[in-house]
Amino acid sequence: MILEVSNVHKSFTSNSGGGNSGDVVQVLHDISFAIERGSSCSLVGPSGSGKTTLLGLCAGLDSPTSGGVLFEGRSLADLNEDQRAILRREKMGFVFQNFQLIPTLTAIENVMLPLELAAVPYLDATKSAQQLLDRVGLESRLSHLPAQLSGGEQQRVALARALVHRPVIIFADEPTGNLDADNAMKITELLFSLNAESGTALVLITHNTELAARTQQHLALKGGRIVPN
Amino acid sequence: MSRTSLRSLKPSFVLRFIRADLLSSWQRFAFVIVAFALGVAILVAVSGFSAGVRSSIETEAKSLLAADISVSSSQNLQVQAFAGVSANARFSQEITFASMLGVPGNSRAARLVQVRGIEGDYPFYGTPKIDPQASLEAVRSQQIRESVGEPPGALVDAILAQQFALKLGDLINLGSTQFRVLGIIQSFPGESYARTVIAPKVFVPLRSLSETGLLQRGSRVTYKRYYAFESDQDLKSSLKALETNQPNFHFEIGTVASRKENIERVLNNVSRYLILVSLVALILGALGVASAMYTYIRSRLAIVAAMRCIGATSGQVLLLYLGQGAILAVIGTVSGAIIGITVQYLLPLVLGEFIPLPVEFEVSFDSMIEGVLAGLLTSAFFCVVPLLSVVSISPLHAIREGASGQLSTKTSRHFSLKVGVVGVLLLCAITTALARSIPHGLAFSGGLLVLVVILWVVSFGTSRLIKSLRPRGGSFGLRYGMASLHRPQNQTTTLVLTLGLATFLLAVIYLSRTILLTQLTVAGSGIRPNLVLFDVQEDQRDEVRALTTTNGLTIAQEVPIVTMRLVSINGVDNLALRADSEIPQWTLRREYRSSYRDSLIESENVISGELIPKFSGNIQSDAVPVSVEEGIAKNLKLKINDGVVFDVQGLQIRTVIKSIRRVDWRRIQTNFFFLFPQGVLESAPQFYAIMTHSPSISATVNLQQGLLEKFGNVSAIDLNLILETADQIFAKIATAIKFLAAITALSGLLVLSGAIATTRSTRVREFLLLRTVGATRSQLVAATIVEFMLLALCSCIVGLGAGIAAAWGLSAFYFAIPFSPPLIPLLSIATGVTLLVLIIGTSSTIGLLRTNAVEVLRGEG
Repeated sequence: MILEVSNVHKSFTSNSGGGNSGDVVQVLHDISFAIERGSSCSLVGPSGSGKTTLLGLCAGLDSPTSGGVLFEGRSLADLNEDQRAILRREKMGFVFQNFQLIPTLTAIENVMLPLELAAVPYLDATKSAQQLLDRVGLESRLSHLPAQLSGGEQQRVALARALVHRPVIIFADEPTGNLDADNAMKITELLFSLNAESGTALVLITHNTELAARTQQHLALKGGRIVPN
Repeated sequence: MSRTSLRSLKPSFVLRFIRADLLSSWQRFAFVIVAFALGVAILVAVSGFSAGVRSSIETEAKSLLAADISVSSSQNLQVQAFAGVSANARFSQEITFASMLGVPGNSRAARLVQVRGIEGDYPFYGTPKIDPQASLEAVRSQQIRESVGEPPGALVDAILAQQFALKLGDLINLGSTQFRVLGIIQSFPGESYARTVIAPKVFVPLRSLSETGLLQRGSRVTYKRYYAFESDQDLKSSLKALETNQPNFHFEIGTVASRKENIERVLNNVSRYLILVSLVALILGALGVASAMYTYIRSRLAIVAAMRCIGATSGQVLLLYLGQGAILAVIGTVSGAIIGITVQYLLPLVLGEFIPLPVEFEVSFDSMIEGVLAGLLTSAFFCVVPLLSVVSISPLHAIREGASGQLSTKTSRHFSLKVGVVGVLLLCAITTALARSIPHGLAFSGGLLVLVVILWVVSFGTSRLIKSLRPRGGSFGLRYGMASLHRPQNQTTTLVLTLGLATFLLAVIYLSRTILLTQLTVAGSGIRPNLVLFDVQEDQRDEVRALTTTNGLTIAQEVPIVTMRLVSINGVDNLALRADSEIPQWTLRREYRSSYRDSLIESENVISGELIPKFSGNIQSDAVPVSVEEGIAKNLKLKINDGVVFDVQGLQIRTVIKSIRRVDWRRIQTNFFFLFPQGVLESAPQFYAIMTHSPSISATVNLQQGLLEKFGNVSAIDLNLILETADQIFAKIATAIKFLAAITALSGLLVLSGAIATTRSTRVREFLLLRTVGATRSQLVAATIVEFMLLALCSCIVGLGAGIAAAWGLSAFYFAIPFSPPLIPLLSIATGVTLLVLIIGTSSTIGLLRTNAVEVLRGEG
């Protein structure tokens, strides 16, 4: 198992907005599931069902109120924030709905970023990034800034960035949410073929049922609970 | 923060990242960096100029005195007084006194001058500038009366020549003699501007003085000798000999060192003031940098969150942004230092007149390092505080769209307090180091902090007040503009702080000038004396009194003055007291001019002991009870019942301190360090100061003419002239201060521009949205005007209010005069600041209205 989520609860204390200050909002209730190495899993559910919160907990971006998350057998709760950052740098990849590329860095520099943060020699990092950009079909766009790329191209750069350091798992949050149908299809193909090629596990948040259907495991969330599909 | 993770970042990557990030956002920092650089520039310029003056004092020290040693006395000294002085020494003699000068054929020309009869090669050091240069030699060597009937020659100060339109060859009257103007003095070694303005110099041949009839017994004549020595050995041995002779012959010794000490003291005070004012400009710029940095970090929220997601540790991210802060600080500081050196080159043009030395431009590396260090430390602190929030940016922001507009800070109150304490300590350290004085540094820091707190409270309060009011009525522009002051990401605090500080400085500078002039005006108003007659001899009293009243002036007071020297304190003689390094030498060497009366006058009050009005004991056997002024008592370490012996022109008088007085020296009155009771000094040789009130300028001129004709030795000091002189001097100093204030105001406006630039993208988005939902251009313009109008008003009200409060404090507690703020000039400052803020604020924002919506949307993507 690469990821084990056991009896996770997550709540927030509301301190703004129209509600009474100090109200506790229960976002996730008793969530348990596991992801195997190289497998794919989709998280589906309506807005506000807790998908993104659950993704954040799985990736160590946030901590559960109770319950545990084991990554390769290690409890994320035992790691401090920097240790979790290093874990993400080495083992995880991310694809966001809004791409989240650094606007001031070129396509290849964005892809190199996880390697640069890990102090991989510059030439090695360049080579790896270039290979991946070739793989996603952007060999002619290496020196372009994000603003000079289309949405689909930006997401392909983000995909290359998520894979460049050979992670064991990729978390993708609505990766096609901001793309047109044609580009969405291209990205989906790319995502699954890379998942298959590299043996990387894939956790996918999506509203797209066709996309969800391509994953091996399906988790449906409603009101913060896992419900039968 | 993990050290391992920090080490893992390669410098080349850090530099590439910083370069890319900074290049993409340099516009938002441009204004504030210029503002900050200006602060550093002024600091470096003022500090460098002071260092230049100090350096000139070191290299040109001898020209401060224009000799190695000067000896001065109120009596014509016997040869024995100079026994032991090296025979190889060159020396010059001078007799100097104040007198009225007249111009034949011009009945309205009469002015107090400083007559200086010279003989010999003085000045030995420094180069006087006289037009023509040869005239100095002509007067010094007295080669002027070749033909009978030709009047002796004179050199007059340029200021005098200008006032009475004197040309070479014109005649002037001094006492009963006419002199012909042979040269016009442009500058003379060691002479200060202020002294020249109050009593311009007139050099005449020494021997010609006797013909003027002005050297009467008892006149305040000073006999001087100037020495120049071949070697240091000669100088030291001669100085020692003179110090040995001094107690027996009563003279004052001036040395280059003592002159240097006096000038350096004044210089330190002036440069300290200017440096502290320039620090305000620096802090304003730094505040702008902090504000821009905060907004910048907010705009980088998504990037930082994404980086955290893909594995950057908080330390790594902090390093990347601290690096950007450091580069901005270095750019601002270094460019500021370079501008500062240029400004330093210009400062002598403004302040040069006040320094009795030519100030050569030179780059002072110490000052540069000082300015650069102050700049770097200030910017480091103001950059680090907003940058620290990077650590608290959660990677969740990358996946939570709704959170991206907010910068969640986990900084606790405890942490904020720590940062605040570090900031205050840093401010105190910098001000103390720059002022080179702990009390001045702390006082300045304290004052600045109080002002900043007031400005912060007002800006915060205004923001809260407007928020709580939430006006429902009025136009959209009014409601939206008001709301801009309290919405998230508002710039209210930064702008009110910076603009308020700038307005405060402008107001204080203007009001200080007004207070100083008012103080002098009050002193000379109503029936208070406005014309003081000095050096009236006993035998001239009745006639001078009659002349005064005949010309329509009223006599307010006649004050007898007796000159005396200090012989011993509590049995320790004057020479032995000089070994005490805590007693200033001038207090032991000087000639005291004392008076006697049975009561206090309005400018003084007893703070310890009791004033004894009359002495009825025996002067030979009993100690005379005297009163001493507080300041000189402190200098001489005198307490009640201490014994002091004075030499009153040959007769030793034993006195005992019975009271200590506090004297307001700023009043135009005759005040004294030592005050004797009646019944002691009445028969001592003395002269009088007569305080008169003149109802008009013509009455003053008539009296001056009368005095010039009959009593050339009597000096008439016109208070109006002092008032004009003070105004002239203040106007020149104010030029320098106004320059600093202008730079500070400019910094405030640059910070305003910077704040607008940093929030540009937010404003663009807002305007686009508002236009999309139907807001008209005029509504958006109105909203912008309301926003900036409120900001400007808030800043002006607090800045002017604090300025008026500070000025009132100066008036009430320091000058003790009534204070009423001049409304029109203050309103002009307020209007000026408001208009500038409105112009800058609205013009840059209105420019956004022309932005193409599609273009913006594409850019946003």
